Amino acid sequence: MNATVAATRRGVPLVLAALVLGLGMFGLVTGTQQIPLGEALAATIGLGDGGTSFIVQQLRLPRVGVAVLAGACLGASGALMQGLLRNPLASPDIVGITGGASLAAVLAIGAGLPPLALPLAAALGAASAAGVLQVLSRHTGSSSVRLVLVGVGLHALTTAAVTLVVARIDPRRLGAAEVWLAGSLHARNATHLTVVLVGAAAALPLAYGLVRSLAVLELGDEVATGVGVPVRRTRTLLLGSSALLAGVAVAVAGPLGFVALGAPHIARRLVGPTSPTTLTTAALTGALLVLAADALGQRLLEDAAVPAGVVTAALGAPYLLWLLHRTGR
Amino acid sequence: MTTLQTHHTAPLQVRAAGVRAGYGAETILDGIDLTVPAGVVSAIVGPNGCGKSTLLKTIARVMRPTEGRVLLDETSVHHQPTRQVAKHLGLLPQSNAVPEQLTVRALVERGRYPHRGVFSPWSEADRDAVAEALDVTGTAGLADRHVDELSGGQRQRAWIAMVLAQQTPVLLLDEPTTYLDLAHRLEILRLLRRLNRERGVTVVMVLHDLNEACRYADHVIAMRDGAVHASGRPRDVVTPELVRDVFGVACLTVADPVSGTPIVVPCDD
Repeated sequence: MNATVAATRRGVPLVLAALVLGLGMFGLVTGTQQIPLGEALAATIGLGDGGTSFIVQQLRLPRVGVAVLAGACLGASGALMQGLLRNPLASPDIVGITGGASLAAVLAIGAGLPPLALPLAAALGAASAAGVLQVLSRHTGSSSVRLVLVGVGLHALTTAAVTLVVARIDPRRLGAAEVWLAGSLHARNATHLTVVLVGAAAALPLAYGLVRSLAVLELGDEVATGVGVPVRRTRTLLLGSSALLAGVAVAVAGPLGFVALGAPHIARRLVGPTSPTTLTTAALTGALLVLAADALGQRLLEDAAVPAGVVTAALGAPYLLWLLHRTGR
Repeated sequence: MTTLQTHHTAPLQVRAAGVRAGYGAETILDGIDLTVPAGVVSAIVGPNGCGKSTLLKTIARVMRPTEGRVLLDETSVHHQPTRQVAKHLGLLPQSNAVPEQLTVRALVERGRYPHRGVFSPWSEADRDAVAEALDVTGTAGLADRHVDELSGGQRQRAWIAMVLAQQTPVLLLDEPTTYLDLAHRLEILRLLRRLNRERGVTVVMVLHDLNEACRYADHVIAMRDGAVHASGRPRDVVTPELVRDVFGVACLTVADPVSGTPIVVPCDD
C-alpha cells in the first residue's frame, strides 16, 4: 500500500480510541443527574462527595466499562470467526455460540440461581457450544463449510431451546429472562466489570497471538500449511478464542446482536483484510457500537430505557443492508 | 526486473521412502521411492488420477503418508515443527483463497510467516525479502493493486512472489501453469527456470503438458497408477514407449529444434 494509505490506516485506531474515550466520558457525565467532567473523573478514583462517588463508581463506571469491554470482545470475536470461516457474514451469533450462552443463562434464571451465577452460566454455555462445534466438525478437511453447517444447526437448536425454556419459565422470573435476552447494560455493577475485565485480559492477548496465523489461514489451508501454520491446532485455538471472547461479552451484557458481525465488517472497510490493526479496529468499533447503542437506548424513549441489544440490532441491520446495497454485492 | 544475486544455499535433498498415502481407505500412492535431485528443475508428469498432486501434497506435508517417510536432508518433514520445514520448503498449491481487498504487497508479506515471531516487528530482512520477491516476479508495479482484480497471469506471479518471500531453497508447485494462456505459461516456466539457474533453487512442479515438462525441466518423474514409472533426463525418459505405457497414447518423439529436448507427436490410428 502506498504511504498515504498506510498512514491513514494507522490513524484509524487512534481516532476510534478517541471516540470511545469521548463517548465513555459522556456516559460518566450524563444521566438523570449531570456531573461536571472534572468531578466525574475524580469520582472514578474515589475523590469527591459521597453521592457523586456512588453514582459514578457504582452505576456509571461499571456500565460504561462493561459496554466498552463487551463491545471490544464481540468485535474481536467476530473478526476471528469471520477469518476462520472465510466468510464475511459469519459471527459467533450465527454458529450457535451466543445461542449456547443464552440457553445456559435462561436456564440459570429459570432455576432461580443468584444473579452472580449468570455470567458464569453464560460463559459455560458459550464454551459448551464451542466444544460441540469442535467435536462435530473435527473431521473437516480443507473446508470450513462443515463448521458453518454444524453451527447453523446448533444455532437453530439453541434458539428453539431458549424459546421452550422461556415459555415454561416461572412467570415471576420471565421479566428477568426477557431483559437479559434483549442484551441490556442496565444495573451493571463492579462484579460485572471485574468479570469482563478478567475475561478480556485473558482472551484478547490470545486473539493477538493468533492474528498473523489467521491472516495466512485465510489464504487457504494448503497455503497456510506451506508457510508453516499448524492448521488443525490453529483452527481449534481460533474457535476457542472466538468463543471465549463472545462468551465473556454475553456473560456480562447478554446477547447484543449485530456487534460481532458488523464491527469486523466495518473494520475491514476501514483498514483492509486481517492484520493486528484490523483486530484492534474491530475491537474499538465494537466498543463504540455498544457504547453508542447504550447511550442512545437510554434517551430514545421518554418514559423507558431501550436495552442496548435492541438498539444494536435495530440500527445495525439496516446499516449492513445499506452497505451491501451500496457496494452492489 | 533486476538480475538475481545468487543465494548460496546448500542444496537440500528431498527423498520419499516407501511412501503410501491416500484419502480415507483409498490408497493413491502405493509405495513411492524417489529422490528429487537437488538444485535442478523437476517435473512430475502422468495421466489424471495417477497421484501427481497427491505426491506433491505428501512431500509438502499437506497430506500425511500412511506408511513411509518424506525426508528433507534425512529428516522427516512430518515429524518436525511445520514452521521449521517452511523455512526450507515453499509450496504453491492449486487451491487458494483471496480475501477481498487484499493487496499484492499484503499477500507477499504473508510469505514471511515462518521467519517471524508471534509479536516480532517487521524487520529489515522481511522488507528486503518482499521487495526482492516483487521485483523478481515483475509484480512490484502491481504491489498496491487488489489481488482479486488481477489477470490470471499477474495473479499467478503474485502468488509465486509470496512463496519466494518465504526464501526457501526448495519450491514445490502444483500445476503452476493451469488455466493460463501460452504467453503466460511460458512466462511462469521461464521465471521458475531463472530462479533455478540464478539462485540454485530446487524446483519441483506438477505439469500437465509433457512437451512443456521436457522443455523446461531438467528431470522428469513419470507416474502411473500411484507409482513412479520412470525418472531421469527428459531425452532419456520421454520416449514413444513411455508415452504408450504411461498415457496409453501412440506417438513419435522428435527433437525440439530450439532446445533439442523431445517433443511428443501423437500418431493417428
